[in-house]
Amino acid sequence: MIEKEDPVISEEEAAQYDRQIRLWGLDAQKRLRGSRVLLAGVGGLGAELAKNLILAGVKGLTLLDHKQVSEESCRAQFLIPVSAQGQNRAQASLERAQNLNPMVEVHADSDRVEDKPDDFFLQFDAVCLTGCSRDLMVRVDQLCSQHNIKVFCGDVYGYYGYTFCNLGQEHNYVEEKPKVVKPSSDSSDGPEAKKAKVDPNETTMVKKTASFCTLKAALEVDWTSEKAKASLKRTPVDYFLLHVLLKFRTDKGRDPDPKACAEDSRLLKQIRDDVLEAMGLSGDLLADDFISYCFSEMSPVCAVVGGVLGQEVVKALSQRDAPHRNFFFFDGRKGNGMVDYFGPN
Amino acid sequence: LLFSLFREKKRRRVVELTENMIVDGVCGGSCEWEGRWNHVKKFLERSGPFTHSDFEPSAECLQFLIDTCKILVIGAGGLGCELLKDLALSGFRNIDVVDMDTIDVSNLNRQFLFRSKDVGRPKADVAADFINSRIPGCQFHIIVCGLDSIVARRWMNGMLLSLLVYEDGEVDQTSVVPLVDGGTEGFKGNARVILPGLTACVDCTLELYPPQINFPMCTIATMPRLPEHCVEYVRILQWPKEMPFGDGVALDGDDPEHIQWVFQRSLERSAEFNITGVTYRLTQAACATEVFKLATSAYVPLSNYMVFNDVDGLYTYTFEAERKENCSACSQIPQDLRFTPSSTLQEVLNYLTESASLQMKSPAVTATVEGKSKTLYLQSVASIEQRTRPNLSKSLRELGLTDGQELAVADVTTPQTMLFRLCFTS
Repeated sequence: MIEKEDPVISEEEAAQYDRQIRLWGLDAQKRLRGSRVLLAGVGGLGAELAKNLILAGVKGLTLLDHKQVSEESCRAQFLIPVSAQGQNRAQASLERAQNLNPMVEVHADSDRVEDKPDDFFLQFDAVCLTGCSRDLMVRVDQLCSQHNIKVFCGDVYGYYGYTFCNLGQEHNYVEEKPKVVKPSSDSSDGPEAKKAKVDPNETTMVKKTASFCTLKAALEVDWTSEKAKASLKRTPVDYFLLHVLLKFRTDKGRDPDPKACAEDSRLLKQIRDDVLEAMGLSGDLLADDFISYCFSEMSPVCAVVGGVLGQEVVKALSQRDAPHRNFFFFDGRKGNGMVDYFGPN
Repeated sequence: LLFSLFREKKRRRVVELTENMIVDGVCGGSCEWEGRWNHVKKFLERSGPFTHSDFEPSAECLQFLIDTCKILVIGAGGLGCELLKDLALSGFRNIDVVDMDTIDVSNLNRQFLFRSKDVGRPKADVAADFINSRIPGCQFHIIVCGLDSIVARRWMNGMLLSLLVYEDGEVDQTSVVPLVDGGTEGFKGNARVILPGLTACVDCTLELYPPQINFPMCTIATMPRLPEHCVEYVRILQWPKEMPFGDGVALDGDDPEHIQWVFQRSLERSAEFNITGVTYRLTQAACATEVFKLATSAYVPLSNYMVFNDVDGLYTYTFEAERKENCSACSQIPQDLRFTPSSTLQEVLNYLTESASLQMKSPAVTATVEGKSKTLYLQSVASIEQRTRPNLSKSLRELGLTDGQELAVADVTTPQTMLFRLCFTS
């Protein structure tokens, strides 16, 4: 974890980070400043996350992506210049990413995330995985959580997006709560003076702990038990949609492609049926209409999910404020977002 | 991108950085799929023709919409930067941007289109009448706002309402310019879609904003009791008189030097009246106009009001805001003011500022008395304020006002003068 912190924050940093320091405090900013983050996948969501972490002022961010810039990738994210076709995605994103904040060490790495040895991941305080296969995510999540490294996963499929985090079995953080001052008996100053005032001068830091499960456990919930079946009504279908999309990615080695719209739609339907059947659930649970809305990465959805994910990383690294436990699902069609927990109780 | 009222430095920087970032060529066939534009269709294929002079709404012509749709983005701050990025990536090509600010180093942590070498002077004055000249009728198809004050939003809202054309009591849909409005504060934010004249406007939901505490002028000027009264005195009366940081330099709630000046003067004032409790924090709170912002999102199609709260884990809550039947801005129903003839003008002003549905800031009231237009009270010009201040404690009868007469009220919250009907009660 973050051991060595330079106790002094420079004037330049204090000025640039002033508006966020007012929100999360100087200690949090210092911890961010000592954190190294790995970001795998620099697509639409990855670019948003990169922007948010770089602007927040982490110590270092490594962009890891083996893919080449295609015609689509220029339009999918704002870090890659139009002229960069044929280059590696991470390399092509480097200049603009670094430009966002010269105080952050931004690196580009063009290797496949699957080919990276275990100890590659261990140099980071937080690992963020986007556009990765389910198996890869499960493996890296397992490895990192054993070494106290915070793990984040996220993807955007058309109008839908999710984030997942595993902050370890014992994640400690603080919450700043205001002290409540009882109202005075003098009521001559109108109704406002009678209310219990929250004095912003007096706050207390409350220490808390949260426990997280592995991605594997989160994804392998047993739906055949009576208890699980009973909770289905309260369960967002986005969770099952995620399984379908991850399976598609595993089977096809890519995400649903508008160019292969008809064929991919058929396949998505089939996978939906298979996945739900394997879980012992009815196909009705996830209606057909999701299919036409999960192609490509919609940029405003990337912005929302990237914003949420960015803030989760900031909270986890600064150990301040309650983390989302453990999934966040965003439905861009309805404008709905939901936080929910999946895993062993 | 077209720029209006930008400081040259900021303008040059935005052009430099966004020129290459703008999507070169629209998505075309490779990014089209069934259902992609359903949300837009919902807006466009409403009952009754929503035809604009340059386009016909239909499934085949959405491409045309992306090519020709003119968008005005107001505000190039934290939210504005995010909006520009997302609009450009979504394929919109005709975007005008308006901003009334200059870049400050404290903007660099979130307004990512500007970098260190763009830092200019501290904040400039807001130029409301500039927006006025920039929105001539149907020139824009959609307006997107990333503003930092409620007052500015209401003003924008009022502007678009004033452009509406009514025929037989029904709004002519071709005169409707949709407004997408968003705002953030700290970890929270909201976004909504307003179709002026058709759906809930800003003022319809005004009561959702927490009421601002306004103190009567006479208390502030002559009989303060609370520390807040002392700060207000310095802020409202002393600052404009002394202009401590230069002529025309407005109080900047984010500038520690300004706050320090107000704080010191407030201490002096409170000492005069033996009032305790003036603190730096209190001063800061009273002066704050802009709170720090973390922009996290841009537009998403929704109906029609979305709240985003990243503090307690409650994420988003979308609901359909209903139009207020007697909304003071968009209902076209004249508003009555009910007072006894012996009520003072101050009481009327208090109502205008404290009413949850009006929430005016510093209303100026004029009336026609004995055939002549008479300014009853106006705060924003020092000499007139002083001259008309005695009217505040006079009764409406004393001022020569009669039952059923019209009062014209001007305020920064509305671009058009609001007409009220005075109804005397016993």
